[in-house]
Amino acid sequence: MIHNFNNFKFKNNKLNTIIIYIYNFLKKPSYFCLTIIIFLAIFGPYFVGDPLEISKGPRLSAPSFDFLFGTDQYGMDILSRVINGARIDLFTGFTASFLAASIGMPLGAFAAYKKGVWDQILLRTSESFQAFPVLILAMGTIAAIGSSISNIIFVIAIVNVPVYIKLTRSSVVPILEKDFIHAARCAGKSDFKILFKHILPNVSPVVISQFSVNCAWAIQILAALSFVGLGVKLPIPEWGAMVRGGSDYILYGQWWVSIFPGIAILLTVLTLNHVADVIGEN
Amino acid sequence: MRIVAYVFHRLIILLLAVFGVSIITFIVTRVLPGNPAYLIVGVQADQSTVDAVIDRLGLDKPILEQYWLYMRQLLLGDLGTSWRTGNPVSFDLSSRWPATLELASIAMILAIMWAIPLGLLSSIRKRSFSDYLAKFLSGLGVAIPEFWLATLLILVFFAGFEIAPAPIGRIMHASPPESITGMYIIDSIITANWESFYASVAQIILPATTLAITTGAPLLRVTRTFMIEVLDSQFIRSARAMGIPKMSIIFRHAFPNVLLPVSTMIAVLYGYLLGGTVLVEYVFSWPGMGKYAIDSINSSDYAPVMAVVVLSATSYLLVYLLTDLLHLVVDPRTR
Amino acid sequence: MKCIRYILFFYVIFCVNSNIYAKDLVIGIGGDIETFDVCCANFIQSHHALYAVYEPPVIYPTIKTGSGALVGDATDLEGTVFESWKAHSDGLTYTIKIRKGLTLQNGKPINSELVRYMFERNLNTPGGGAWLLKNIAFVTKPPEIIDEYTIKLIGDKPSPMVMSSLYMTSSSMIDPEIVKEHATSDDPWATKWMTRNIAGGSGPYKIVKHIPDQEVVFEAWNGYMGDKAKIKRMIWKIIPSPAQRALLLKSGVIDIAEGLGEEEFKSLKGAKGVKIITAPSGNLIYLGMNSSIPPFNDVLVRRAVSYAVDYNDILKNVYNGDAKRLWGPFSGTNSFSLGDKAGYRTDTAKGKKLLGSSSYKGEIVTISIDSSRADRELIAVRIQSSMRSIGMKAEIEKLTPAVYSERKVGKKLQMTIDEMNAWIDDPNYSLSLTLECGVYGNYMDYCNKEVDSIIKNGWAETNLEKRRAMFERAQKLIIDDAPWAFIAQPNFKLAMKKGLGGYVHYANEIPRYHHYYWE
Repeated sequence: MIHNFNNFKFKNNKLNTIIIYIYNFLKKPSYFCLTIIIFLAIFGPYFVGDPLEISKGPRLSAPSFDFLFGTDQYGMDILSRVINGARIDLFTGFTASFLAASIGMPLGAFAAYKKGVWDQILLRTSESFQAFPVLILAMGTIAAIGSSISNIIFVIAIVNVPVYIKLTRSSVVPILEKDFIHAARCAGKSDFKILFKHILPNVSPVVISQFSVNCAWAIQILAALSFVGLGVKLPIPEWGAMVRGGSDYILYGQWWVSIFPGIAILLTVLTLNHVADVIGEN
Repeated sequence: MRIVAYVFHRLIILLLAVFGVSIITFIVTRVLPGNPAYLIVGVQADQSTVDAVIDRLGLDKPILEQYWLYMRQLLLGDLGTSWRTGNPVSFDLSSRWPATLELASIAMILAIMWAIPLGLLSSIRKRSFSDYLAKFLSGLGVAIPEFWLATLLILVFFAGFEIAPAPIGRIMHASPPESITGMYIIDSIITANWESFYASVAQIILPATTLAITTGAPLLRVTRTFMIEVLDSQFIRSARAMGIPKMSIIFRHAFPNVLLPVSTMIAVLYGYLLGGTVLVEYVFSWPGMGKYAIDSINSSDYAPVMAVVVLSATSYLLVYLLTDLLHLVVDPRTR
Repeated sequence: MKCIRYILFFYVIFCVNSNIYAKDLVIGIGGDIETFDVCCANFIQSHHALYAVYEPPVIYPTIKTGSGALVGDATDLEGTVFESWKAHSDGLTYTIKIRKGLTLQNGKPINSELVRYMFERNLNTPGGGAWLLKNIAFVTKPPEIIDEYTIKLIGDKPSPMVMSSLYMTSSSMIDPEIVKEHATSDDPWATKWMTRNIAGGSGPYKIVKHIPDQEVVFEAWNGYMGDKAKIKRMIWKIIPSPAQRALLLKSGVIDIAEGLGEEEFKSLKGAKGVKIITAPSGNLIYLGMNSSIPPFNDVLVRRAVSYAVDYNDILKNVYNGDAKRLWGPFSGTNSFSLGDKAGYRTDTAKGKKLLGSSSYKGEIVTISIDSSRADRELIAVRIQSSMRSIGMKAEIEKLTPAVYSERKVGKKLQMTIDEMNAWIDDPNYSLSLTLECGVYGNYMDYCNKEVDSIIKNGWAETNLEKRRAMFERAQKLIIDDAPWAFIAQPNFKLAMKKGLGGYVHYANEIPRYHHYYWE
């Protein structure tokens, strides 16, 4: 690993270590991709034009040198909208999934560990939540409380908590039989400690895998909300709404309107999946 | 005997859950802004017209009274009336619910048929071609919005290659079969109406495939992930060490351990499907429940929205109950 | 002998396969028929169905315009159920003769009793029918019966539109016996039953099958009084997505695609086997600014926005040139319209100046639009950009149709993009509907006392030149007050298969399907 750095010796050893660490981190293609995406999300908007400017150029023009990704039905530059859209989608996806996981995982582990009444209550309640037809509930709630980003995150999180509860629970159950849990109990460790130090870390791979799926679902729900006009307010760029708005244009021959945001969603999700898998395998 | 008691116990809980769902939905729909009266009367109207409609639809009664009326009707089997269609909601649902059920079920079956075998295969042969294919397909399936995929499939297979039937609803060039379950495919088999059968199967292929791709992807991931874990576990390793043949290890020893989380996932996905076919229904002109619910939300038509939510929730909870019972039978650990 | 038999055989085969007689008409529509009740139909699907199964007593006669299009002549009126009518010198009374020998689809003869019942039911059931009678024709009581085929209709105030208002679907002939059969004590006019059912039927078609949310099948009625439908079977397929409707028309699966938006028409231009029928339309597209909600209570702000809007950009990029510029509150087709002699032209500099001297303090304003109308979104984004160019910040809010209607009627929308289509092209009709002080349809809460008095006096004014001068003044006042930014009058467009002829365009933009035939 160090061999590539023969030419780059720095005087400071600490700096050396950091650079080596970053290099190894970026060597994995999925981590690299993720970094690029996050970088673009944070800094990208400064390099491209105003995403809200209706270009004096033609509507629905095909990709060209002036407009690398072409223009959409409002006459706006798709490239700048895709890059600006990254912020909203990533932020919503991450936050909603993180919120759902941080509520759902401990509850699921708790349910499996405690068994009995607690288990039943948590299980049945989460089932009831899951029983709601997701899209319809989301649409109804947003129609009622308004379509701000925080409301949307809240709704997506609530809708996904049961998944984490179930998943965590069903992967904790087999672990409970393991010897080291018995040992910890015998040693008198408190339930809380056992949960957090021994059980949860072993469950993580499955849940992290689900996390990336959830991010993708969050973006999908955002797109579906824009279906009834309840997504982010026009004309703020958001990948899901862009794909939804542009999907009819495929039939009219203007494929670029939905393809580019679609590819953005695809790359982000694939990268997240891959990262999840890699973490899971360690 | 214990199993019977357990089932009974679960059914009671199911009723409580449905009750809870109905309260929450009621609150959400009543908080939903939009008094439909104004949409109903249109432009050429005046306040007296609006008042007449409000009076006719009972929209001005206090909330608790409305809830009480609603629950009373519900217990009698009356799901209310949709002002938008003018029909009793139960009548509207009797054609739309089977449409969604049919679509979701066929999609789920197709999803299981492609996702589980591929998931198993890719977990056994890590880093092989099938593994990369599986990872790619599952990522694709999760990331693609289904309405976009639907439009793409229509463009390619209907408009392009002209091998798929038109996205024009449940049946074309034939009459629907006599209604027994409401599901055209099943009904046409029962009544031996083969013309209807072929026509309905043709129309369901494309929409079901669309949903199968997006539903199968998470299923594939879960199958693969759990299978990998199981294959890595102690007892599989010892089985291998003992020289038990590979096929036997995979199917008799490893796979049953994956059944629990995988079937959980199938139940979750089926539930999601039952409430989430709306965008595909829209693109394919499929007259299902999802579209009915969205039209109702758009028109602030409360009765159908409540009925759809309560119905989906109940079916989902039932599916869940059945899955759990299956687990009881298959996996002694959960007893 | 054998020769003749063969000739006969082939002739029969030819007739059976002949397009004119055997071919169905398949139409793609966007949603199911909401109500079948003539008194209270409000959505397009309802109106379309009602014009097929029911018959109004009068209709605009069909004429051919210079471009070859067939339109209903709005300056003339032709009797269908009514044979003739005479206006009395008092300006309030009309003696109407009913055509003898006509029946409903179930064989019931049409006579004065039946016609009177139609009026009576409309007057007593709140809805579009009542509105037309009370607010446009000023008729508040059912007609008197003179004899079996003569009635006398008396209004409270004079109106130039008494007879022409009867061409709408609400004035259709229904069977009183059937209605009374289904009446209940708290529903004496059977409104609940008629929402889902046909009371008798009097029009060129009958509904023979209705699968909810899927299809409606019509068959021609052989006893129809007018030109019988040349196409015997008509099938309406419900296809919610307009893009799919356009695609299915292109692929030849359906014959007419109704309810398409600008984007779909653009994609169909030049498509093989598809023709797009265009007709001038009285539909007005405007940007409403609420005179009761700041900052739009300041006329300078409203004028500033009127100068800011890039009208040509919208006409070119949203409507692809298929629209005319709207200059004022009247349709350009109206003979009283001032056209481009008055009205706003885009002038960003002037807009900025006006905004600067107004009471606008930089607050964010909201443009609300109906989420079910795709074209509004395109216009809203462009207007948002135009407003930014003069320094005004606007947000676009999409609302579901029900919420939109409620807030609009409640006069709570700060700005909105909406359309107005007058069923009758008369300034009294459109102004009393939308811009008279305090009326239901005055969503932007505009009020000008002088305009109001012009409207009130205009009903009874019979001198054409005087009336013209009055309404030209009204236009100038309204344009100065700028309650709306007058954007466009898009042409009416209908996409159908080449080889389908006969479409007649009426001012209410509702087709009468029995005119169609295969060429």
